[in-house]
Amino acid sequence: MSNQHIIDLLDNSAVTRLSQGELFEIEAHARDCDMCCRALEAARASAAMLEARAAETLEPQPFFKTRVMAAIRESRAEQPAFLRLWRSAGALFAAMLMVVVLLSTLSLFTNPQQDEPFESNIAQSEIYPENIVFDDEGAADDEPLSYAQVLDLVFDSEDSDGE
Amino acid sequence: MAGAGLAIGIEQEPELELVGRAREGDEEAFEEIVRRYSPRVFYTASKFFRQRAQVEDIAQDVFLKAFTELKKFEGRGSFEGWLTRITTNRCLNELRSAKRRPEAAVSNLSEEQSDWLDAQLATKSADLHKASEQSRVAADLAERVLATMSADDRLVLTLLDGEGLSVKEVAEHAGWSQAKVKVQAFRARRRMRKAVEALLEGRNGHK
Repeated sequence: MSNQHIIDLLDNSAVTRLSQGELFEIEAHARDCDMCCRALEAARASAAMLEARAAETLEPQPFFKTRVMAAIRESRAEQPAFLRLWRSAGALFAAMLMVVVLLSTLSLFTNPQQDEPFESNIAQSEIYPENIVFDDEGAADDEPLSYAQVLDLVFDSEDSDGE
Repeated sequence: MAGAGLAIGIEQEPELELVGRAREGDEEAFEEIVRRYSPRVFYTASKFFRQRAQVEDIAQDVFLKAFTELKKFEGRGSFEGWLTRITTNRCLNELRSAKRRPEAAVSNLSEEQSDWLDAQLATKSADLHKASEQSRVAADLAERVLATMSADDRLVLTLLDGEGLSVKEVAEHAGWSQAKVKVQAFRARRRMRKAVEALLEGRNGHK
């Protein structure tokens, strides 16, 4: 029987799970083989350590349930960052949309003649030459002047300037 | 009285109904889940970690994950098994992120740990750990040796050789194939045996 065979038997399962036949075989070999004897001792010690460690168990304390539920409520209250960003972006977009709609509505109802041609607007408006020439505040209130009167006034004012 | 009646009712509520209500966001149902299954989660986590604070943190994480992923539980296996898998994975991740200690050296052993190893050499018996004090020393030694090993080695040794689970059960808990469990266990046992052998030889050298 080779040393490797014994070592493989030891590593193939925990010593505590070896069959009686396997254990007998290993022990018989280990009596005359130092290397396998050391391996068997170490395997036994390993098994004993692992079983001792496995026997240790912790149990939850009474407040644990409260702690978990508090953590769950906290995590539910906290929204993920991207969700917060998405929601605030949505609010911003909605606000912008409302402003656009409001402005469109206002422009539609407050300026209904906007569709008429510019030329007709000019034709309908009362634009007098004296308003343009003199920029006189009271001119608009007086009777409209004829072109001859306008020319007289212009040349008179130039003469008086020359004097 | 009505409250007491309700409490008795929820304690007897079948697992699937309880999970169904918790999935709908019923906090009372999830609270009952925590009450019912926290001993199991603690039991599993304490096989890998000894500090109460660390085990509590892991257990809390497990329940938070379970709460957010309840929709993934399809009810094919038991809810307890599903929670145990989450716990095992959480522990495995924790072990992987933890720094491995350098090789356990005889010079770093306490007097009682050295005595325990001496007793092993003297009697060649695996029954020494049964006495409670000896058991604690043996568990300390196990922790020392396991701390030098990889997370996968620790997992397989703890569950298979420590807990005495079957290869199939370990495979289910870890989400590994049975072949992987067997190979990992063979290699892990060899590594642990060699580490312990070095400690025993060190004790022989000290004598």
